Amino acid sequence: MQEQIPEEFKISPSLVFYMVASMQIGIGILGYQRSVTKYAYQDAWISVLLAGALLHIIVWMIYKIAEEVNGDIVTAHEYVVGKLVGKTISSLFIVYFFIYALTVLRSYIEVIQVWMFPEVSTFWFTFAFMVLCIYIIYGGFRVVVGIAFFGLVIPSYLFLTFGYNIKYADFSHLLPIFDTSIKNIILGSYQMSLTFIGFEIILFFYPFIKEPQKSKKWAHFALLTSTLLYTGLMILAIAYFSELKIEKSIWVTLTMWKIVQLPFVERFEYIGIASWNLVILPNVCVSIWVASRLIKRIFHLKHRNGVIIIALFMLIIISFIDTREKINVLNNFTGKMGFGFTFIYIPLLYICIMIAKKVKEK
Amino acid sequence: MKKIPFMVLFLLIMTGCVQEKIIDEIDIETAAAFDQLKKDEFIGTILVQDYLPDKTIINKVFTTEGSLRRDLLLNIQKQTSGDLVTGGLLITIFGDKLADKGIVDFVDTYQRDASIGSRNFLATSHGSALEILKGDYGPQGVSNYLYTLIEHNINQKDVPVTNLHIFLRDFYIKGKDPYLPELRRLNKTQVEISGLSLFRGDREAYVLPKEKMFFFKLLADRHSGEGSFDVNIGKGRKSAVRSIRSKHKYRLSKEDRSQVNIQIKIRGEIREYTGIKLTQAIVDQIAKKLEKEIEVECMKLVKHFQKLDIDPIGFGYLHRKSIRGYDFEKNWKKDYQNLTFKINADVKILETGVIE
Amino acid sequence: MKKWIKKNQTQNGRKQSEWEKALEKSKDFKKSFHINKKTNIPFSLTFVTSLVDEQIIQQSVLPNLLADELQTISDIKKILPLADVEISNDPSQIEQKLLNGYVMLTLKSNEDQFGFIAAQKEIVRGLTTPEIEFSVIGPKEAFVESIGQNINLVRKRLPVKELIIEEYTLGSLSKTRIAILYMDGITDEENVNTVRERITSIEFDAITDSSFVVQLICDNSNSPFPQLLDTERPDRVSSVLAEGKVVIMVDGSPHALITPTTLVEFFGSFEDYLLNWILSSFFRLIRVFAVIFSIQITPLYVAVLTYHYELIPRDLIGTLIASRRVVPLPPILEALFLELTIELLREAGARLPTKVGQTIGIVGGIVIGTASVEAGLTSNILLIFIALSALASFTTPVYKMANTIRLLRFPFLLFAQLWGLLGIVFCTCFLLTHLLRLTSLGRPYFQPIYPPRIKDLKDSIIRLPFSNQSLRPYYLHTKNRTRFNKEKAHMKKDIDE
Repeated sequence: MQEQIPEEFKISPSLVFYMVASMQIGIGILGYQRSVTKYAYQDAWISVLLAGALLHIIVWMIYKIAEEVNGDIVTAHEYVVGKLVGKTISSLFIVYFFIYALTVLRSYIEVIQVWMFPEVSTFWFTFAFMVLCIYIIYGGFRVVVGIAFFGLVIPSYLFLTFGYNIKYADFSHLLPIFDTSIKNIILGSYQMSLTFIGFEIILFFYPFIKEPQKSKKWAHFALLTSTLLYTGLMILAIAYFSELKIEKSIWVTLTMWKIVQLPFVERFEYIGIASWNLVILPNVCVSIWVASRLIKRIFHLKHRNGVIIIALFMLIIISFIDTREKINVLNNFTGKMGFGFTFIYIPLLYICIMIAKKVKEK
Repeated sequence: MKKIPFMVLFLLIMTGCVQEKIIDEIDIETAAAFDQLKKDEFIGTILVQDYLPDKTIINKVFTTEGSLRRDLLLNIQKQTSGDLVTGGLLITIFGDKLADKGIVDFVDTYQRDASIGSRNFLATSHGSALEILKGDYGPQGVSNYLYTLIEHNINQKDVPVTNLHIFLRDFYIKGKDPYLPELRRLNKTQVEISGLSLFRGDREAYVLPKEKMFFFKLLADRHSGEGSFDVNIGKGRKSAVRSIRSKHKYRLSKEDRSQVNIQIKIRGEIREYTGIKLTQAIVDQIAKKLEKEIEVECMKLVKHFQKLDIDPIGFGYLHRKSIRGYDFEKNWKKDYQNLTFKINADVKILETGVIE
Repeated sequence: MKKWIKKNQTQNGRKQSEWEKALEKSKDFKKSFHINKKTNIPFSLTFVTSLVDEQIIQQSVLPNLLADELQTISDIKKILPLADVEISNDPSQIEQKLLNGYVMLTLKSNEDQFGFIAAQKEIVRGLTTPEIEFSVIGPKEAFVESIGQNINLVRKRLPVKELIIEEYTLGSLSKTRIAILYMDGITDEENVNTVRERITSIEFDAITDSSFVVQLICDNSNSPFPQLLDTERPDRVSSVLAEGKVVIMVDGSPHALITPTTLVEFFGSFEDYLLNWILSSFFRLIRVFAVIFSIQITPLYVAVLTYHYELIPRDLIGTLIASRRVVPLPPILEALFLELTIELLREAGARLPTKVGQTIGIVGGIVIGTASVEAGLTSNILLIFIALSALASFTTPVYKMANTIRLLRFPFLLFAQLWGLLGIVFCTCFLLTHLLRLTSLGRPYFQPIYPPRIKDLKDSIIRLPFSNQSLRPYYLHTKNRTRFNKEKAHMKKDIDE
């Protein structure tokens, strides 16, 4: 029932780090500070740390599930509820990843439209992006992971530029620490959903990992990296702005770039936004890869055709999302969906697998 | 079939294009000035620097009247030959009457417009803002001149750090009021920084004279770099002390929460001395004298701010971050008036120049 | 005897076979008849005059054949002072042997047996210095057009039995000799097999140069990137053989092909190994910078001047606007105009004889450049950028890669015009994907950057000292990874010992 992946298409365990980290770091990071500070004020960074810490448990569960069934989530579903129901549940995740890719891409286009080119056509940009994604995915999983790798490595220079913000930062803005109620801190953590999700793809590409045991530490390490990055940026944003100013900005991280000045570049945010294309790319193309792979696993459609179908759907649907309002609704929905999947569904699945295992052993 | 990709690429190039802003075909707004005309009506002035092939700069000034900032921009578009763009803005000056009325509406558009950078300078003017832009201050162009004027006074002289970002940060933080440098036109070719406009909210409440700016910078900038001050130790012996670096610390007194302890540390050098011999004793005397002067002057300043009910130093914010669960909205107004200050200055002269 | 000769001549029509008919049309085909002086046995020699060395025939073959005792055809092995003498009775070989420069000997007594005497004429250009991969220091020998000579140059540098040379003859018309070189016990068997398979499955009529082979066996023929490294330096070939790569040599081509190869290898010159590692690392980094600069600078100019005026520093914007004030063309056309001018100059310089080419380059560069600035067709700042980027593109040591890099800027230019900086990043994404998809001999082209192999970085965009190079590159999957004993090489004495 489970297909075997030939050895040459598998990736080495350390690449899981790039997959997970580049999938997590995407569109959320451009403006997550706002929604978190709304609840947790100057303690928002605690919310971020808390959310990051909790996610390690989820990653641990993901590995447990995958190890138990020795396969991806489709195998896990079939293991628990049988073939037909399992496939039905799994097919929901095609939609999940489709929406995830849609959210990321549309939000990025919005950033472009607001910050760079108000006239850029959503349709044509999506079209070009989809062509790129198809080109990547046709190259196979190795190329997809390669893009994840470069999507993390090349733009990492961008984070150096936040050094300029430190000059203007006043870290006493973080005082008094722990002034916010626990409830608000947790509410703040909940707001991090959209920013943090992405690591759950381990459950989908698990069969592609060479020696998956060894990849565990890399997955946790990736999670730690993104958590520290988010926490660092959160602290910096609080120190650099004041809370009320954070609440007014939609893209806090981008606004922070406005102060950066290099000897040969007067305004850095334009370079940052353009470079962000490379950060967004793995988000979208890995999601499409997962979605089209699910199509292949469930409906036995050719992978090549699955990708085209998803790209077409993307082109059609993205044109309907045209206002800030709708994008916001989409963002919130994706955040909730991600929260539901990671914090509710995965533990549930984990428990089911454990029960099913007990039953089958008897 | 093979032709399809090319056709799509062609279509993409034809329809996917975005609006071009070729640098020599646009008019880049580099400075702006706003003056109050009547109630709800403003004069907006926009300065566009034009560069000729022989690299001389022409300052083109466009003026219009209107009741909204957007209106002003639209009106001016009708006067310019190229597309007027705001991304190159360096400095914005608000006339004194306008500053008295409040400038938040103008500043709001500045943070909404993504093309405006955070390192812009905002300034107020003594008198008409329009007149400042109409001056001619040399070959580098008016807006470049004004920008570098303020920039160098921040880096080397007594103007506390300011720009659009800092103005907005101070404006939005609860318990702190913003400040801006004030410019004054002396004549057609000269302009000076004549003081600091201190705001209450977004309205100008007080103009700090330029003599006091050294002390204000000590109080306002967390780390200030250079700044200089003359010390007179009597008997015609004067010396100029240049601060190399300074630091301040605000603490609410542990025993009495309504007392703020201010500590100011200065490390400086003597640049000029008019006496006969500069001995260690005299150096110590100068330092002592300077300490005394700083304490007295800073005390005068904070007392004055308290009286005017403005808070450019951020004592309100100090309360918020030092006292857990402080109800700012309810208590601050009363607490500020009851606040007492204790200032302690510490001056160390590190160098006395290359001669003894 | 005379009768026999006559008979042979008159009966030509009856006895002639296919090959003889065809060959007789050529003027350089010759058949001569002789009689041995001792045994009076008549024999004939058949050969293609343009292919054989007449000196061998006159000095070593004919005198011996005429003077010594020649009874049966097997006697020729005894009487001829030559090593390559074969006897065969397979008439199908004749044509090939004759066309490879053999002299065919037949005795009248037995016309079904043929003796083949090797008398090839080797017209070889003398060894010259490498011209494309010139290096200031180091060996000055370069390959020539003869495969025998070339293999000799490599063998000399690797005098071990592990160096295996396999030979194939390919091309339905050209019958080109192609050799595969590898080190037994080091080179990955799988790589050798892949090369063997690809070489033997070539279907082509005339293979005149190794560049034909490159295009026929590369993994993706629709890529502008060269996927096999070609070199004219025997020292480079021997060093990559020792590393565990496979080398392909083609008769008639002064370039050997190295495979599998990676992108970064194209930016290393052999001279890097001759210099101190600090210097060579610096030069390699300079080259990588030059490539990025060369591809990106004109598109960046177009993107920034067309869309992103905000990016230009305050002090520079005046200079830029002033230089563009008189230019009527939009930046994209201005850039394309200059880029094409440079391409024209390069192409013209490459087609003309060296001395004229140089003149054209200088005259064209100076005159056209200055004139177009003065005429207000282009801005002088762009002229500087274009000239710099052209210069930078020539720092790439491998000629074929340098050509690719020159081409790459054009799609970047189009995308820059379309979406500014965003377009440039978009195009970069496409380029990255393309490079990620490329393989050389089935091995990823982008190694060791991706898949990341930290240990292989020791000889990539930097080069660490030889003492750190004790292991062969991981990606070659060599059978024996150690090049030398690191412990021995690393014996360090304590201070003052």
